[in-house]
Amino acid sequence: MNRKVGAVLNAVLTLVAFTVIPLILPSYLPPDLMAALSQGGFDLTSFLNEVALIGVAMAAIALVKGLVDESSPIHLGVSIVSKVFWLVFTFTVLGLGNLAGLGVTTFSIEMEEGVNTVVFDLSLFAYLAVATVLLKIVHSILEFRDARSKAARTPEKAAQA
Amino acid sequence: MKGAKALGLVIAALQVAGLILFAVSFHTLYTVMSSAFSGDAFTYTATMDEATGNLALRLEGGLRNDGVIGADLSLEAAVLSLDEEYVARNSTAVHLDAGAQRSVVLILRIPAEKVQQAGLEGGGLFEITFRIRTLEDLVGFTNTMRIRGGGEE
Repeated sequence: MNRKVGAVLNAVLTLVAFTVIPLILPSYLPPDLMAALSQGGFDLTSFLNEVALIGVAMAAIALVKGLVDESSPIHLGVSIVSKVFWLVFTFTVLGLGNLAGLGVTTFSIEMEEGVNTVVFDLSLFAYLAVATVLLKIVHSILEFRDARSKAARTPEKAAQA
Repeated sequence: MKGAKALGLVIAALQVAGLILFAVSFHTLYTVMSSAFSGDAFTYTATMDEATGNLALRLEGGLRNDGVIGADLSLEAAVLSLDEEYVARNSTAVHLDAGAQRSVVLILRIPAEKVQQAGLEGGGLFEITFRIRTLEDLVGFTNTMRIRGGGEE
């Protein structure tokens, strides 16, 4: 029961942090800032919509992950998928919506007297995120193996799995 | 069990290290960037040698790194003709240790024949590129401004 409540809570928190807040954020930002970002070629609303969409997927994954038994292959599969979604989220945030940029973001701002091009190179953090996610996947597999051997030692748990 | 726990600790350490590196490098980029783009950081002067007709563009300014790690800054200036061909180009680079302050001077000399050849009297384009790299060149920010010259009426 406690595990189920935890799963629901985790899913709700994920949904609030990654979907609800990004969706209501534009209404709290000064219109001048929105206009300046838009002039700089950055579509904040579209970026936040992408984050919100990833948030929905991550909340659903958190819910399923929390509800299924840890020794179940479904738990392992969902766990790996959640790591991949986390990577997608990191790439989206580092690239400010440009997933394919892998941490390199480019903006071009057209001004009356010329053009201003800005490039942020945060690819180091994209590679760090890839390394972390790969290690997390290995960690999930190790945890799954531990849960399986633990369940095999406990007859009733083995029956559930 | 032990393997999973040890790996969990490695992952946590990697994530914390990543967050610290992100904060430190972003702060360094921000402080150097702020000093480079603050209103009176850079001055630009253009002088024409009346005798030879050669043009000299001088870009001069002070930079400061209030971050906690060093940063490399390169400054490039170029003049382009109206059909976007490079007429003259020069660059300089400085290393700014944490807390350091340095001045940068970049002079771009354009011979008289190139001034006429590229039709710079009619305008031309002026391009300035600030490139700031930190964390052993792993994180960076580049700003390229391409400004249309006024020309002589």
